[in-house]
Amino acid sequence: MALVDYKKDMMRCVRCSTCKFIPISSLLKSWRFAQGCPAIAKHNFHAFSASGKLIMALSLLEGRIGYSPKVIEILYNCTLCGMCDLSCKVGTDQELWEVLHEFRIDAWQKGEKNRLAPHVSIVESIKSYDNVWMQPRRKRTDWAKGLKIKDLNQEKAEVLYFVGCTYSLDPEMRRVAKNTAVLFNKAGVDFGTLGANEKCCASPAFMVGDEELFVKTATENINTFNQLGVKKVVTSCAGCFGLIKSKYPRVGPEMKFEVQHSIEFLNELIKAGKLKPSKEVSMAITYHDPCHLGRMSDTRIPSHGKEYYVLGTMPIKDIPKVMGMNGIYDPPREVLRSIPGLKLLEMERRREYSWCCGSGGGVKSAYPELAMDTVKERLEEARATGAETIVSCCPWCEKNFEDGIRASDSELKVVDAVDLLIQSVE
Amino acid sequence: MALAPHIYKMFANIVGSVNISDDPAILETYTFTWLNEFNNLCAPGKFLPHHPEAVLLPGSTEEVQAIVRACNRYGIKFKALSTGYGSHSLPGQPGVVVLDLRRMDRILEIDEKNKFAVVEPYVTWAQLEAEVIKRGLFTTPVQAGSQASVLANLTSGWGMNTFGNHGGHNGRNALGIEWVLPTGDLLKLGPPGEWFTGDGPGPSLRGVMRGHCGAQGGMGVFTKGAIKLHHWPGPPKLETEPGGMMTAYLLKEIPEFLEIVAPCFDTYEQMIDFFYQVGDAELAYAMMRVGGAEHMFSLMGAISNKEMYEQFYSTGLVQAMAEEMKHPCTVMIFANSRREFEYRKKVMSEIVKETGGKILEVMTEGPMKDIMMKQMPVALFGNCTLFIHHAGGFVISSGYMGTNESVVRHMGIPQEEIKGKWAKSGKILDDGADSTYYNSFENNAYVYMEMEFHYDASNPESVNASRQCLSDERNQRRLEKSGFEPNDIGLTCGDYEKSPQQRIMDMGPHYGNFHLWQERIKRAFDPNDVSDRSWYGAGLLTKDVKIK
Repeated sequence: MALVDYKKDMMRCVRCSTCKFIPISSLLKSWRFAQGCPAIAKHNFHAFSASGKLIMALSLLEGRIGYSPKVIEILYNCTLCGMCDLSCKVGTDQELWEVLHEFRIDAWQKGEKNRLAPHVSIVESIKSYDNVWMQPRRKRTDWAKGLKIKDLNQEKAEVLYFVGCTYSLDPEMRRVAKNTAVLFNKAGVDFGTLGANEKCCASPAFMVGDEELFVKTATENINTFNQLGVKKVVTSCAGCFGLIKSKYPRVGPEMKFEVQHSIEFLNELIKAGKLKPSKEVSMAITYHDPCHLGRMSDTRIPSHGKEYYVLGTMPIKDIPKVMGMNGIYDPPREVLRSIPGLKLLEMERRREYSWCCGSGGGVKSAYPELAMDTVKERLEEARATGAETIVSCCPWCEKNFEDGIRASDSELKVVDAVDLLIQSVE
Repeated sequence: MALAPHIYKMFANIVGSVNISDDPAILETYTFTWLNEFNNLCAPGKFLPHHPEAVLLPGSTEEVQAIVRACNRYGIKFKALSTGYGSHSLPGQPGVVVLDLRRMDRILEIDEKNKFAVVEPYVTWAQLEAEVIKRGLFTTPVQAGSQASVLANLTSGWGMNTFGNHGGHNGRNALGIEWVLPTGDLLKLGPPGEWFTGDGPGPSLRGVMRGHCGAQGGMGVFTKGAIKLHHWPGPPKLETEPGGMMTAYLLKEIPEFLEIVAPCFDTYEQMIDFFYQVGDAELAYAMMRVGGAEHMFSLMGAISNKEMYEQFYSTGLVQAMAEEMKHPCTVMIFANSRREFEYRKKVMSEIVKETGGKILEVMTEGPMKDIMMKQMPVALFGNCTLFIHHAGGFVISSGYMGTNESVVRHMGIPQEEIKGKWAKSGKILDDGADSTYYNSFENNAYVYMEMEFHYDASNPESVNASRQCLSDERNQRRLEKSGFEPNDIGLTCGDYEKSPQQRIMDMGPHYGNFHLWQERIKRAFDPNDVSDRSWYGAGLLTKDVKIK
């Protein structure tokens, strides 16, 4: 596995600029919300687009440029949200996102991580504490005090609730984990957690290009989940969900469990009549599709450049073409629509072509200006719907929305879908 | 050679320090683009041998003027680009500063009553389409794709559109244009303060501005432009959903009075007769031809090569249809009322019969019906450029614009022979010998035809085979002394052993010495020779060309 495996994909880029926009005009609803890529939207130089990064990668392979502070700045000023990949794949079989990711692995392995102090700090936290927040492991259980939850280190259950670092450890976010567990209990779900033994999913390591730590952690987690004998691993964090569902399969060990985001699981519980949203929650809301619950949760197996030709020169990649169409789009909307009084107003960019919140790919920690500009753009789009509240299912999105709202004096509020559901369930 | 520090600082003062860069990594991304592998400076590689000196991101006409004036003062060459797609959008020589117009991206006005819109250079066709369709209007989106710049297509580049049958040729839709001349002076085509026309009293400057193919950035910078809009008989929004093989999306609901059919004909003569009769009856909203069945399928199913191959080729469907569908056309009927819709369908059906055409059942049922009615409209209206790149590379032969009969005689028939030989070589995509793309304009008053070649840009052998194939085609044109080679100017097509300027020099004597006229214009408008002329005029090679 190496950057050079994708050289053909780089050479087939035609620099058409499609990767900068929402693809094809029939998806667009206005001039205003036509952009697809946060990085080029902020920085404007072509290098910041996905095409630009492909060109830089090819140039690097051909020895025309070397790694430099600017190359690293460009490479990591990207949320890896995957919108460019969708836009490009509307008409090609090229693996654009995989090139961006492999480029980061290459940079990390060649010592460029030394230019990325915030990312190194997070990776070291995962190595030292099994979480991204440099918190002692024992604090992972603080959110669950007073709740009846099985300890799967000691007992068996059908469902592992994989809480995630942020929902476990961030004092402002713990309520989501708590609300989720309360709802599971109300529905009579047989579930438990790993408590202090839960380990980070390693999403930050994967995103910044620390392949070694990602593979090690993912393998350990898969083995742990398998040993628990659970039918399902349910996670509230879109980041954990996207990684476990979409990227863990590339690590190797068979995954003998189903992976679900809590919003999918809660939707199933509502449909089964085990949860009954009945109290009115009068509010005009808009729903933000987190990238890692949406397009980036579609399981992606990289080709590593393997292909064959038909009709002379038509390359065929013998892997499923994944565009993100099979992300989790309907369950959160169905949950929200099940709550009486909620009025769901859709943003122009939604579902698989949703605009990123700006937090992912290590951007929030290393390039906060890009994170802020990107979230402000999303808040503007949310405001344009007439909604008073923006709803998401991801702690990283929610935290960035909070920061964006504070910085822009917006009157919008941000909540997790679970916050609304629990208000409505008797 | 980098810009001198004081020059860099001067430019930074104009655009702001965050909007200029001379970092090698940034500059590198302005040396690579589609068709570079055909450019004699790079072939079969992808990178130009020279970097720009710097890239600037101006945000207004005033900033563009200030940059251009500074270039004149200090003898620095400049080249502007917008969305940038093709070698002609990059500097063709060393020592050039690039003006990336990405920050100038506003739609300034949509005049519904008079049916035009005024745009800045980085407004894309998709953005314009999204805004005008809600107002019952439509555009003439360039086939370079909905992500491409409207203004670049109107003023500076080649590029046809699928809706020319009712909307006309792209260059004909340019109205008032704001133009920063190579000297930095501002010229406004059309009446002061008005955009509804690009002309006024006296000789028209539209020909100087664009002519047939545009100056590819060799005549200054276009900063605002008005485009003619056309009637849209459909709903204010086309709702799509994921699915289909053509562009990954298909229509949720087919507009009530829309139908797309694909009649086919045994001979070119029958097909030409059909085009004429449909044109005379003014029946079609869009009308085109996309080669034989093998070529048509290779475009239709491009969302996934694997799916396309397994569904259409491995089953023998394409090969069988290629036997049946010798000369297929695509006709879009789009009407305002039931009565009009039925009338148009009925007349077209009669014309198909009269001209000896047929509509195969396979095209009107099952998966093909879905493709024609739900996927094809998304591809045509949505105009995704990338489905032409399914082999990893795409180029066209020299194009020919003329009457139906003349383009077929000069291009279609002879090119099929050449293409057929190369398609069987295994070095370019074997999508059938007949891959002639054929666009109709103004109710088929004239058409544009070109031959497509698909190759693998990552494979030097394939690139070289394509170059040779096109040289064969070019040589044949010359032997016949009947070819018309506008694309040699407009794109990098033609004799790939030579630079664009060499090609212009070659061609000029055959076409009224147009290269000398271009050179006169160039020298008059650009006395300091600062607007990168690599794709325009003759002077780069021949400083001693005598202009009488």
